[in-house]
Amino acid sequence: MNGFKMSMLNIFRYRKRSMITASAIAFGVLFSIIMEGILIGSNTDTERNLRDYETGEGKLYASGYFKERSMLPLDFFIERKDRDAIETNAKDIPITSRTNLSSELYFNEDFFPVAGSVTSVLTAVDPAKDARVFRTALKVDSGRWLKAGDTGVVIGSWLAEDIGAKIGYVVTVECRGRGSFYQTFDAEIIGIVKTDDPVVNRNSVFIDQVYADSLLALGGAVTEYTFRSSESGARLDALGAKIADGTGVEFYNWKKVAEEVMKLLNGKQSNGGIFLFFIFIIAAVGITNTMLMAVMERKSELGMLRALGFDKAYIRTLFLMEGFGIGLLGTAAGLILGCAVNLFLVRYGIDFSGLFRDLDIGYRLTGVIRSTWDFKSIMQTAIGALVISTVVAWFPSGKILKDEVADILRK
Amino acid sequence: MITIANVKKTYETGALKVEALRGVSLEIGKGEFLALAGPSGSGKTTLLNLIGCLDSITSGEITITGTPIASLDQVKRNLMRQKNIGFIFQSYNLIPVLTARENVALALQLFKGLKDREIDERAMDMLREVGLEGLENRRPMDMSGGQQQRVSIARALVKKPPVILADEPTANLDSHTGEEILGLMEKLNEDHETTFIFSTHDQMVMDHARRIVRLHDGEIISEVRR
Repeated sequence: MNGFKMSMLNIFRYRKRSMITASAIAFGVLFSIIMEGILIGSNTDTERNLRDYETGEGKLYASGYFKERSMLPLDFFIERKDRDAIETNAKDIPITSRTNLSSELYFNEDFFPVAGSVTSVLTAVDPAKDARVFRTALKVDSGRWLKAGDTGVVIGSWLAEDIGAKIGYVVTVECRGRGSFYQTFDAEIIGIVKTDDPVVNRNSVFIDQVYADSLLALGGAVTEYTFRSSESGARLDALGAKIADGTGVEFYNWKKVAEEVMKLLNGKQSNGGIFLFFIFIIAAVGITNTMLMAVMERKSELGMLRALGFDKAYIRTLFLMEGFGIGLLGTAAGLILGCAVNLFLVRYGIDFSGLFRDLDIGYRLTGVIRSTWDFKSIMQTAIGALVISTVVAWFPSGKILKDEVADILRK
Repeated sequence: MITIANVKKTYETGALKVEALRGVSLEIGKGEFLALAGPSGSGKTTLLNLIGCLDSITSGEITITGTPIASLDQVKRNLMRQKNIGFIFQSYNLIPVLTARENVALALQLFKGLKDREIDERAMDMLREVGLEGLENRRPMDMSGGQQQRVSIARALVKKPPVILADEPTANLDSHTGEEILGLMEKLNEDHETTFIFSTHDQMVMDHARRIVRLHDGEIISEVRR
């Protein structure tokens, strides 16, 4: 007969109480697996969508543009000469140029249910090269993607829904050209794209770069170059520098370009950690309470064990093993349930389209959030739950073990 | 065997001081079957606890098999209990999740050098001796009060201590079962030459005792030998 067996039997002696406490731990582990999986999954998908639809692996901007980029300024252009150098440097690397402008999209009752206007981002793209870098061209929901020489526009699906746009409808685009003159032009909607990036869907208007150049007097200049690569970290930065070599342009990797989003993602993961911390605190309180009740109810047994000659360390170990046992039950149940639920969430996800459609919470996700398998965090959660369950069982036995055996038996 | 010399025990609760023992002196020889008798609050359980190293002595000295215990630290008191003293409690204090055999074997677990098989055999022998053969795999809740007290006696005796201390051993039993238990303890006392010291206010127990020490308000007021 060993202490381990006695501790395990004691767990089932107070079956309901042990099961309730184990359930609290199981809930903590389950929630932790799901939360971590969803947070990491959301972050991974957001990062992927950022690269697929907004940043590529990195961008080249004219000097001074980066700081002002959120304002879409028309004061910093990559001129023809630098463009040639960049394209020569890039050789076989998938690269494309774009020009982003702030614009106002007007729609009237000739085509649309109601008249009005909406602020949008007008992006002049190179139809031939854009699909080498961005996935936008692959996400046409109706109509078609741009071709060289097109005078129409392609708009985001949520924007189309908001204004009631359909293929063939004509909108009026108002924006500034190079030198800050105002330009207004009518354009037929030739395509609607439904991407995985809410920013693109919500307010993007795409136009052929050659047509934009003639309308806005860009003189062959663009505001940015974007490229794709399998490189990352220092090798990516070196590649960007190589492409920018001999020009006045500056390279920024995708994390730098989307630094605000990255901060948001990291912040959300930290908040998730705090939330999980509180869940484990609840589980710890549960274990402490269970152990405290066990100590109170078993005073005569504890006194008897001390009377037989068992020392404090042995008795304390019995409680630690009991806490460990309850923790093991809860952790095992939490792992099984957590993995089962996570399997569903990895395969099917949760549809948050209603939320993302109306609310911009920073994630570059449009509908279904999928979880992911992060075995490191699952292991950390399981080990954390076991350690907490064991450690918190230390304290309840402390008070009573300080007493004389006669006092324990008398109580 | 056991020498108790002018032992005092005072309990302090805040400003309140209660003198549970006021200078008790007693000599107890090997193989005695002794009852500490007296009403509630007379100090009999306190004296039993002090002899059993379960509580600290305020002043005076108790010597058990030549070892003075008043100044022993917790670890040495633990060892003293482990090797020299067996306990029988009024409410048996068995571990409910363990079988009768496991409860008895528990007392041998601390003895280094004993193999599991040997522990098991000694526990079984002891259960046989207290008349519980066939019930060794029952848990306490599946046994009567008398049977539970027999397990408790087996647990106290299995490590062959020179002294057994029994605090009101028949208080939770009906008179018939109480008689049986006392008869069993008398037999074990004779067979093993183990010293039995009871605390009791039960006349039936006193009738079986060969020496009765009466306490009142923490002092010995009389002593009878038979």
